[in-house]
Amino acid sequence: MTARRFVLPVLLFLAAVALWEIAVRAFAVPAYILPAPTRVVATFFRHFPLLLGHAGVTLAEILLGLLLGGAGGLGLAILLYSSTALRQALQPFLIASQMMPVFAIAPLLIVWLGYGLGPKVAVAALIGFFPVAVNTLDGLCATPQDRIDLFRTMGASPGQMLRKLLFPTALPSLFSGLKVAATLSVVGATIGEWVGARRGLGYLMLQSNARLRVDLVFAAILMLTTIGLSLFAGFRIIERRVLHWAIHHRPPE
Amino acid sequence: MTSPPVLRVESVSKTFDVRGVRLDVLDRVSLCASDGEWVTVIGPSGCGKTTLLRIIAGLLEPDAGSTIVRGARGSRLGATALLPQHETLLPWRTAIDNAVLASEIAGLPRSRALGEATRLFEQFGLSGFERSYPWQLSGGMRQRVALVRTFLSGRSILLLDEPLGALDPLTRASLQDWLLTVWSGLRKTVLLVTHDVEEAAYVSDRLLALTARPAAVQTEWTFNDLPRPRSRTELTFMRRRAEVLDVLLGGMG
Ligand SMILES: Nc1ncnc2c1ncn2[C@@H]1O[C@H](COP(=O)(O)OP(=O)(O)OP(=O)(O)O)[C@@H](O)[C@H]1O
Ligand SMILES: [Mg+2]
Repeated sequence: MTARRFVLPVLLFLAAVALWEIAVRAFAVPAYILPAPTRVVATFFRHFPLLLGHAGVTLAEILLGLLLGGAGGLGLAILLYSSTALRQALQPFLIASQMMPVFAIAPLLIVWLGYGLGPKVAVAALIGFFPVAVNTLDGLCATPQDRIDLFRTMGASPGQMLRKLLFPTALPSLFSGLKVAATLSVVGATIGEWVGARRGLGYLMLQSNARLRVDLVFAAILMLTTIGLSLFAGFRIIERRVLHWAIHHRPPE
Repeated sequence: MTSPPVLRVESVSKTFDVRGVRLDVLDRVSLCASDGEWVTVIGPSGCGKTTLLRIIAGLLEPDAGSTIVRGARGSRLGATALLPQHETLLPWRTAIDNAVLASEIAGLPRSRALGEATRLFEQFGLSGFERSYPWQLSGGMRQRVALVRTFLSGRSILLLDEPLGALDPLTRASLQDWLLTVWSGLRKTVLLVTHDVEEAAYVSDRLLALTARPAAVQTEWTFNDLPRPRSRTELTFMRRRAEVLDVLLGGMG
């Protein structure tokens, strides 16, 4: 069962890569249109130091964006949970903010925040923030009333209620939100770099594309994918350690 | 009992509004308990026992009448320790951490609470399960952990809502003995809600029977003639128990 869950995707992946390799060779596709996977991997290793340097910049943007977006999302969720009036007042704007493409305001962010880390972090944070806020708010709202009552009879202060009851209850949802945010912030940082940057994997992709180094574009994509997957896996590992109790106890709907 | 009551409920009435339909639940219920006394409330299912405890604990306000805990008329939240009828352990805390929750919220020193919890775990047959999570415990064990939590809350008035309801008769009997030992050791005032006539006669100083909804006090017994420790097979005890049963069955027509 578990073996199959790993073997099947790996087989599928290998088959797709093999097909790509064969197709490129059979039709003699030029490398500046579509490089063969073997060539991408070779480029990846040959230019590894270069890729790593740019990856460091992008990773920093992603992590900072995730931190800001995560903290902002968590904070907003707590704020909205504690005030019904605020929730009613802000909800339409929160949803409307998601209709507005963050990418469209990325050029503006460059104008406002300059060419450095700022605008990329901002884009990553802005798109990671929403799933964290929405998921955490759902988690907070799912706190069973009898537990809230129990804490009230114990004379718990609002701070104790938050730290010892609401936050742990919402933690599984917070992690769900963070995993989505991690995926989105990779996209966010890349777009931020496309709009204007001097370093980073997104910048490297644009540069290589302009110079018809499509193999390097693919190598950068490979690097980005690795970063995204590692982030996701990292959250999964932390989640399993912190939330071992939740595997056995699903909070009531 | 000559000492002044620490808990006084005076003609408390409560009506719920269930989608426009009035549901009278409590009808001028009065009761009191003096320091260190064990008062039990018995009554048919759905008559309003839990509602009465929730009012005393401060979770609900009565429509008429008053509730005075330790002479104070203000907010009662935090003045008593309530053991809710349904399972309320926190799944992310170990058994011992659940047991010290109430004392932690009351700001009592943790090391002392842990020491006392360990001692009570021994008395309640929970030794060796201190580091277990709720999902690793049986239903009866979880209930005992919740009892320990209530005893360790640092409050002198305990409101126990059918704490032994879900247990088999033998475990129930031995837990009643444990409860009595702990109660006499810690000098707490107990207000117990139960369905079980034998339990009521075995543990209480005083017993109040409520009528079916809307609950009013039907009969009151004082078990001064039953010296402690009591024996379930002793004649006076059995006679008193039969008396209570007679009245309760008579009340049902
Ligand atoms: N918040 C509420 N809103 C509306 N009706 C309620 C509410 N709480 C309780 N009731 C109703 O009040 C009545 C008494 O409920 P309560 O839980 O106090 O009974 P009980 O004596 O504890 O019953 P049991 O022995 O089964 O636990 C029930 O008919 C219940 O439906
Ligand atoms: Mg009840």
